[in-house]
Amino acid sequence: MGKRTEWDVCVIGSGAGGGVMAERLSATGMKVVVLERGRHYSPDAFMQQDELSNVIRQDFFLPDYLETQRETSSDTAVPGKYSLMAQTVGGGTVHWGSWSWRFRPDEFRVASVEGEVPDSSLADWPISYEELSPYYAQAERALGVAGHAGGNPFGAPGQAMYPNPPHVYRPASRLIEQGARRLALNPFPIPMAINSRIYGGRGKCMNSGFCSSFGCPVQAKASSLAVHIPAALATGHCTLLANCRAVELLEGEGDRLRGVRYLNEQGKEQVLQARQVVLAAGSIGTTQLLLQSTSGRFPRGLLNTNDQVGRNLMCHVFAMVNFEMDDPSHSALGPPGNVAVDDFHPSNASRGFIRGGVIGEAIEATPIVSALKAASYLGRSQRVWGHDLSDYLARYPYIGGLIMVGEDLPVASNRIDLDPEHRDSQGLAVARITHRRHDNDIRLARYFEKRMADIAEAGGARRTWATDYTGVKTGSGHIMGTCRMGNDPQTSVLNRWCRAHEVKNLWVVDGSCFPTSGGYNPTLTIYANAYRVADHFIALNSRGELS
Amino acid sequence: MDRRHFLKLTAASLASAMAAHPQALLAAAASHRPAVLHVDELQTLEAACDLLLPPVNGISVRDAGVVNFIDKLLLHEGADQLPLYRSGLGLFRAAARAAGADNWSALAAATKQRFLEQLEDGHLAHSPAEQQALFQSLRFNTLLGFLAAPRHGANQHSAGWQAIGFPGHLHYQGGVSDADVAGLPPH
Ligand SMILES: Cc1cc2nc3c(=O)[nH]c(=O)nc-3n(C[C@H](O)[C@H](O)[C@H](O)COP(=O)(O)OP(=O)(O)OC[C@H]3O[C@@H](n4cnc5c(N)ncnc54)[C@H](O)[C@@H]3O)c2cc1C
Ligand code: SF4
Repeated sequence: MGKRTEWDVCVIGSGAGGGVMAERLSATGMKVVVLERGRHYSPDAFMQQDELSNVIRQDFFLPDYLETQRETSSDTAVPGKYSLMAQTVGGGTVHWGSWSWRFRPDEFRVASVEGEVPDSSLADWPISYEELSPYYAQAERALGVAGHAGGNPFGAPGQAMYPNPPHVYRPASRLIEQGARRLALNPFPIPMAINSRIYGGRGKCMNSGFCSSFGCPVQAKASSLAVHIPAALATGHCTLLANCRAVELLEGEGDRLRGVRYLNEQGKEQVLQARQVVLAAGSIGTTQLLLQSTSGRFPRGLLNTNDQVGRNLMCHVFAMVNFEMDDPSHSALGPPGNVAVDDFHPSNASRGFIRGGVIGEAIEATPIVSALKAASYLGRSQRVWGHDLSDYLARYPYIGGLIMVGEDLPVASNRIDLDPEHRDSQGLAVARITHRRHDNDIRLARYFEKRMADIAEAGGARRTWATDYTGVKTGSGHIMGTCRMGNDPQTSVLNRWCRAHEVKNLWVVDGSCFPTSGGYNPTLTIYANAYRVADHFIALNSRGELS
Repeated sequence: MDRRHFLKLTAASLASAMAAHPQALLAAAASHRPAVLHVDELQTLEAACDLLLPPVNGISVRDAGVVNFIDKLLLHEGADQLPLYRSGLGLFRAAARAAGADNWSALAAATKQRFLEQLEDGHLAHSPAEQQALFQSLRFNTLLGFLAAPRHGANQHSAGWQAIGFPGHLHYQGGVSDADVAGLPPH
């Protein structure tokens, strides 16, 4: 890399959105550089992971990361690691659970479907399901999603055949399946981006647990680390700069950026020049970088003239029900979850809330987290120790679970901004999370808790118990919003192609562009949208219209 | 500082302090000789941990080396918790002395149980917030010492995992077949 190299494209962040952009653009011969603040692991390093490092301390994927969190702007934000999103080559796709859903068509036009909802900033997406559908299929092929097309009568229409067959059901999956059938519901295999057979040059899943929250040592689990970044590097047109953190987007002339200032591996400041910049640092990282990049034109941060950068932060609402069964659940074996029920997804205000979510099998957590949930099993928050605790731990092999991923409503005051009180080890203001749930989220979660308990009981569970997850914010790992796409530059940050309204050569291609969150895990939609944007980018470039 | 704030701070510092020097704990885990706690303190802690987490399927906190883990934790990742333990262990000593015992571990089971309940409620003669922080930390560290991966000096010989029937990192062992996941009887 010569000192005066001008790159065609600089991609910041190598997760779901960044991985696809790097691969697609470099495949057409564009000269691409990827800046990634985290390190580049080789898969064998994932043999060294364990629960204490990855989940409790979070020093494997987030060795040097700090943010602060509070409920409302009048609270004091408390420092910690809340968001669980891996800072590493491949981003959150390295340790995701790989549940890979298409959003339903109505999830792209929630404002039109639901009308005005007090205290929520609902908006329609500027794109439709139909427009995204072929890109969903492209993402499913690239990731080798395993599933059963047509298995979900409540899912998006026109689901193409999945490239791989579903994973085998464990005993806990069968209990759920049986319970759902007895209640006349429609259980089906969760679509998962985990190889159920050798596919795409990657091995078959070893069924070894330690999966969600962990990297896959054999790359059976698809990720940008295993799929997109290697493909980008193989073009010979992509350079990956790991351990390099972008700290400022540099304005040039005429509504354009001229490049990016970053800290290299040694912490030394560097500047690179690029004709186009693709920001894909995740909803939090993207906001942080935009707000850090101030100028005379953008005193409140780049693209933030309308004060929309960082707003409408969403993170889904979860509900969780565990159950105890007579036989071993085999939760510790196989990929994370196998069977789903989607009958309660369609919005129906007569239930006391709008919107919905998907129910999926949740394998019981790894041992420490499972132990920390003993209070829910015992139904009390004091005296969660002694023989009752030991008795609970002895039941570990017999525990299974259900989780609901629910659509949370966007709220304008839920946001990321820069914390004026706290700085990280590199001296930069940390991201501050301000998030308080809309009441609708809580009502939705409570409804689903009951439905999940019904399913487990109908399937023959000895006992069921719920753990309240409504207090979890970005710790869900599903972090969306903050840089909405939309047709109106007054109320959004990006246009329908994820291109900034206010800066011509800046694109934001990650979870931050979501106007609403959908009632499914978000990442297949991030991937599909990135393929869509990449196609448009390439078309403009080939017509010489990429200004 | 109000009690809730104190507890919050302690939880935050638990996590951040533990992230600070992971290698140091790995190195210290090699030795079973007490590092920061005195022998009588270890004896007290072991008795307390045993009440917090009595044997699971016959496997005890002693089998898993929980107190050795806590001792090393207080030297390294959890060093900022050491003052909490030192002053808290003073309460255990005082209770033993009042009952004429050499060590808290020698007290009657019901007395020890009652003591831990009071510690959890913050009802012993001491700052309630500190008592509760110590109780939470002790319970949390007991679970870590029983269930965290052996490479951290915890869960020695995977005793804790054996107790709860957790198979550990099966990738090391070449994985598991689909038939084993399904758990169906062979055709
Ligand atoms: C435990 C867990 C399980 C999950 N399971 C699922 C699942 O089953 N299904 C699903 O759909 N989703 C799941 N998710 C969510 C999924 O991981 C995210 O939706 C997805 O990774 C987001 O993609 P992204 O492109 O927005 O950002 P990310 O994947 O977060 O990528 C952003 C990248 O940018 C880098 N970066 C940030 N700032 C900078 C900077 N200044 N300079 C350079 N680089 C920077 C980061 O290090 C990171 O690599 C899970 C998340 C977690 C935590
Ligand atoms: S369970 Fe399968 S997909 Fe998950 S980490 Fe192991 S081999 Fe990879």
